[in-house]
Amino acid sequence: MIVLDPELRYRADGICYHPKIGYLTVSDTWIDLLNLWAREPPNMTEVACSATALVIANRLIELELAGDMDEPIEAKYERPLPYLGDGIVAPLDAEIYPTYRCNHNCRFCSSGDRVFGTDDKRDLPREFINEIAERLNNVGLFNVGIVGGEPFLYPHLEQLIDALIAKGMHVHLTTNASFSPDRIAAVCRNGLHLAVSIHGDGPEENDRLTGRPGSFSRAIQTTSFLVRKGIPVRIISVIETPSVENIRKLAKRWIDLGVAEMTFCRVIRTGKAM
Amino acid sequence: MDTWDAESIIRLETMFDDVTGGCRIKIHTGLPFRLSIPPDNQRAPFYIKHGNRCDAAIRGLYVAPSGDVYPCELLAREKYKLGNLLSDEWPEFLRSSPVLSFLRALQSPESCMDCNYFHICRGGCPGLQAENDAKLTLPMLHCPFANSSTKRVESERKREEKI
Repeated sequence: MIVLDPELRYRADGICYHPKIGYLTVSDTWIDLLNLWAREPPNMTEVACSATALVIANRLIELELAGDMDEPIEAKYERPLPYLGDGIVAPLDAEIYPTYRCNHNCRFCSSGDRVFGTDDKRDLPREFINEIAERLNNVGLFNVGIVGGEPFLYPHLEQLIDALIAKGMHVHLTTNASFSPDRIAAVCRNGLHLAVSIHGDGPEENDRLTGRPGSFSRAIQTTSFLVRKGIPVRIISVIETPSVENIRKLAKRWIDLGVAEMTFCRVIRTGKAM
Repeated sequence: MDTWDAESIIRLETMFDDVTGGCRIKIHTGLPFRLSIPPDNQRAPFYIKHGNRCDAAIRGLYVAPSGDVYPCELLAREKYKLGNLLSDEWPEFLRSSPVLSFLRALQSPESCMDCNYFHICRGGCPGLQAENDAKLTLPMLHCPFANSSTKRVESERKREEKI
């Protein structure tokens, strides 16, 4: 019996997705996989469990497409695929902004006026959540990111996450972690992929960038709490002035904190950073 | 705000292996450098066709609190609205939207093709062009790679703007 990695998803157009490896197609070979890993090295556990599952899935899809499968693969792995027209790839990802409200005032916020201006600040209406999840599912999305604004200011966040995960999509959420650690831990229980934004290696730099005194220590405390609970956390750091030493120092700090993954980003000249 | 110069972008793109630890580390030099495609183009993401400038409208969607759908965060403005997820025909508007057809066909500017950094930039982010109210078909405004080796890009852009 073949046991697939529960994180694996695939679609009838031959696209596979695994959160630790990314997108691959049935035409990808071992050489392609090795090239991919050379660019983004996974650890050995990932290689063993995820890549093997992916290659098996590729083979299964080939068989299924060729009509040689005796039994269908379990439905939870397969994403729907609508016909959008010849040569049009059905979308793979979406980012949902359930709210533009935010309790921080980050100097680099790419949402800019939508968060800080006088635009309409109405949230995504609760009664639309199930319909949105249904419709996004219909186009076979693999990944949905929940961003904002600060997602935890959206009062129906838990319902939104549950509706999306129930459809088989991978759900990612980025937060400033300034809310109750218990609430954050609770939304992660269904397999949500959590990212916490912390910028700089101390309160001085972080709080200056976020415009919120105390935001650094709150984010660190919450991250430590989540790590102790065994929840994989990714840290996203926006770096204003990069240097190898600076990034190495930060990386060491986040590794010591026990995070699973980290991303260092450049300021994009858009939104508030214009 | 300060942001990274061209030299930092190149240096950090190549320091993946330099920072190691028990966890996965990514350096995002960000737009317009999100599409990191090797020079030989052999490992371009499968959803990128030859000459595509950007994966907006091909790979992802942006959904606002109102249900309005846009090609990406930087193109989240009325002009580039694709439709409303709740009130318009879904997913029909993904098939019929003129904005999507335009973006799917958007090619990298020819004048960028000879640049040494084309493989990590592909002519720059169309969304940033929109932010600067520049034409989406032109090479990126304020190109960080527009040094001596790529001056042709700037001169060509000025010429195209005049036309």
